Amino acid sequence: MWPTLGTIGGHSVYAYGVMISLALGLWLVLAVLFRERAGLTTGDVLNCALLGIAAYLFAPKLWAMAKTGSFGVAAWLDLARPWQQGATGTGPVVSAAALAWLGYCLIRRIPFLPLMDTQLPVVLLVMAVQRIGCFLAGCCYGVPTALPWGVCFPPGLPAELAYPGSAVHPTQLYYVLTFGSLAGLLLLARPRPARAGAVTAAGWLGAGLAYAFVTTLRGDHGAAPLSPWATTTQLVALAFAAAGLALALAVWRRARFLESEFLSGPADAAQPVAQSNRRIP
Amino acid sequence: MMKYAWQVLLLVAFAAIIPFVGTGCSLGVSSKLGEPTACLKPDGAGTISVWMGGTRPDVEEEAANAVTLAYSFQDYHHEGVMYDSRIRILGSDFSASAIRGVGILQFPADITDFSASYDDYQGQAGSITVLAGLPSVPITPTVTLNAEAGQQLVIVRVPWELVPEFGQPEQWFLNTLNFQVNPTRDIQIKAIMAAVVKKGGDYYYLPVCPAATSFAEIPAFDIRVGAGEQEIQFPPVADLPHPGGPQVYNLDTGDVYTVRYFPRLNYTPGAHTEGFGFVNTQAEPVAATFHGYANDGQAVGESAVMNWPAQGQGAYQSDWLLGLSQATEGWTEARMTRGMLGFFLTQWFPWGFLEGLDGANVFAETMRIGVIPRIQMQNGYSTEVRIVNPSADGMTVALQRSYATSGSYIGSFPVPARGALVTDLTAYGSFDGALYLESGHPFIATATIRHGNDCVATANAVAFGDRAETLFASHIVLWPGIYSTSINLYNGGNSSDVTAEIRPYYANGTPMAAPFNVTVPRSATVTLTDTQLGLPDGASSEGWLEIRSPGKPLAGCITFGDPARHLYESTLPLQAAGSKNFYYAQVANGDVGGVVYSTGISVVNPSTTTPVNISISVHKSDGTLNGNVVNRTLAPGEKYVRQLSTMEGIGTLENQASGYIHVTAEAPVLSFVLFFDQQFNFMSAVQAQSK
Repeated sequence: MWPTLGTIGGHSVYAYGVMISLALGLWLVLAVLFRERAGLTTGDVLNCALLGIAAYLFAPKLWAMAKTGSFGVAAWLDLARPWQQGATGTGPVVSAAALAWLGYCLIRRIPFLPLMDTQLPVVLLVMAVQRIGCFLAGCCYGVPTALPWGVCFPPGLPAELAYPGSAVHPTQLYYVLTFGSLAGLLLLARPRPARAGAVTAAGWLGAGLAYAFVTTLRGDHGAAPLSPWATTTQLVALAFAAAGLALALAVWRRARFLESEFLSGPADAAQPVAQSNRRIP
Repeated sequence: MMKYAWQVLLLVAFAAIIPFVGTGCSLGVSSKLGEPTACLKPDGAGTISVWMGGTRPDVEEEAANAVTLAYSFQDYHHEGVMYDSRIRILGSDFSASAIRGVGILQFPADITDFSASYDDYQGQAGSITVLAGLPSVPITPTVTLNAEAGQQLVIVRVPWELVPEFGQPEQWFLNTLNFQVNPTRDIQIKAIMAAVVKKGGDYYYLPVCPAATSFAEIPAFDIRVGAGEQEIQFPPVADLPHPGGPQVYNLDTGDVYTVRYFPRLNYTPGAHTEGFGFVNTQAEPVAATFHGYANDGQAVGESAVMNWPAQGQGAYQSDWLLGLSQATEGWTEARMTRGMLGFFLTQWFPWGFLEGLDGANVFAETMRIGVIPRIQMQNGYSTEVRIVNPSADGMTVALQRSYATSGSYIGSFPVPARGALVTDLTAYGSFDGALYLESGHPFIATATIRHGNDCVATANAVAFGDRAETLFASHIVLWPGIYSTSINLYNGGNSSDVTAEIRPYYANGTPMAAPFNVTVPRSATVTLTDTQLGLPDGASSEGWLEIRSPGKPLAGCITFGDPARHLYESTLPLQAAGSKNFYYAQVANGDVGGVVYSTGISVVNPSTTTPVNISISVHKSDGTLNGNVVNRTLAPGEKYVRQLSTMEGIGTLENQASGYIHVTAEAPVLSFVLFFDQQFNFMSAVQAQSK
């Protein structure tokens, strides 16, 4: 829509890249603000940010190498050139970032679910900002539509090259709306301490389903089918949704146990609920 | 904060760099594509790797015995580089659904062990069929594509099921071709993209890009031993033997030729006729035949084989070419062995004297959406619109008028196969402006604008894709009461009004007026005349101008004329870009048969910073020079405008009624030519054409 914002020193400044920078800045600000709620230090926040960037730069290429068994020199050289981006793919990036943060939490002995409960809404907000970048760049576009909110992208952008003269679903904005609204709901949510992981579960479930649904409307080659009924990123999204559902069930069962145990216990036992929760793995 | 210094440093570095490299998240085509590469190891093992993507061709025409396919190849490594090709296949006993695609490569004959594979790195991978060791492949039953001496042809057949239908998203694959060179040495290879047709029991390989029938015409690229991964640079279109129009393969007769379309054939003995001409810019002679069709699609005449020598020019009256003896109305197709640059001239003899004459370039390509940028029907003007359907299918074309404030739908009209729709639009209301045309089929169109019987102007349709955000008029002039300039700007296809910035310059490059804005309402056509273009009021002046509408492309045309008496008038499209090598396919200069012709040329250096060297040469119809080559250096923004005989250093010019002008420049320049008679009974602008 507006892929280039201008030039600096003869180099183009891309709207998508600027939105990525803004998203990173937003994430840092919110993550630092919420760090104590997640039991994180400022250093943890910065390290998590770097792990997220590493996932963004390397995960899609590693995923492609693993899928195809291409571990030749050329593939490793390509991996060593992070400025040459690969086809990014949300699935590998999100999966790798989640795994990296899980590993970081294990090493640093930080409770993972409380961390995710505070960080996931922020991550969804960041993804919404990133998708504004997609809209400006004209990537991640939808299939043609006659609906009144269909968007005609300007000549030369990927969406226009794929469907010249056609209005297409603004799938980028669908992502913005779903991720943004989900992030807002989760940021407002204040689950009881016994329900640690509930926000994460709701976020994985909601974002996974939303992503899988919106992606059915995608018209770009980046969503090339892996199977007759779903794309790679849709499978990853559905996997997250399934994990969210499983986590929700686990959280609900654990909370029912904890709450029933304490509620049915001696009157003075109600006091140490929060402390007791910290003992629950 | 210092204890987090390295984390902060990395984050800041990422945040600072990503705006310069982050073009989009799923732009896999531009990001995952390395340059096409080749590699030849010291042991002789060679590899060529190319990321390729695309769809099946657009079937523009599918009728009994005729199929037209449009291919578009985009070089994602070089912004804006497109390879567009169209082929037309004639013959019985085949169908479009049976047409496939292959790559045909030429390798040295002793190279062996060819194998190929594809991989999209999304889960689809496999092998590609390779046929090697071929000395030739048939193009048609009588024409073959031969390997050059000491070479072999290698056919690489990508699985057709992996190529999406036209209109579907592209799928991209890394295609890799492996081979063995023995003895190990540097090699050269060449490549052609081709369509494969099975007709009867035989396969025919029809070159698409480039549409060449000989590998000798195709540039080679080198693969050097031990040089690691070597980037393959695809040659620009100008360096390819591209016919500049559809290549036709007749599988019944075996003929291979390219075509040009003359949209107007309007002959009435003693009253009006058309002249058709070509210049052959190539080093080989070209043979051409002309085929006239009536408005209803019936053939009305066919010429003998006409020959154009290398670097030669020739122009002929249509009635003589086609053997017409009675009034005929229709259009003409020229079929030629190689592409040439052409023009047509509409001549009007209302009282036996040549009173009106104007021309336009011949069409090399068709369009599906276009705009005729000038329609004039008021204040004594009439406009005849002619829409030609060159395909074997009937079609319907939708028309929308565009006037000063907006646009409105006129209607849809049928055009018979190989026929033409001719209408003066009067029945649908009189308006001045432009005409938008859209059809599901390819067409060409032109408008003939007349004022009474005194002057005639021709405006060809401009393909919608050729609208531009920067347009140039290389000549604007005002002689009060004698000579006037007007410009039409059409705003179609944009979602809102367009504010265009007009920048007029004098011939020496200094601004004629401060840049000013003009609003062109959505779907409307605005006409600006003389002082509205920045030309000083009440004074004779001339210059050139630039029109900018960032992000909102416009189409337009410029008209020169006689505002008071309407004795002469000429229209030509505004230029979107300059060129470094171009031709004018017709020249008339001096006293020829009692008519004294003059030709004027204008060349503008649009750069505001860099001078440019140019050369202008005038040629007779046999290609020989007339006078001397004129070399000039144009200062930034300078316009060089002269009558041919007054160009510095041209020497003595022989009188000529035909011939051509060739202009070369070190950087893109803007240009056009006007020729007229001394009494100003007529005037015709000639548009520059590039090879």
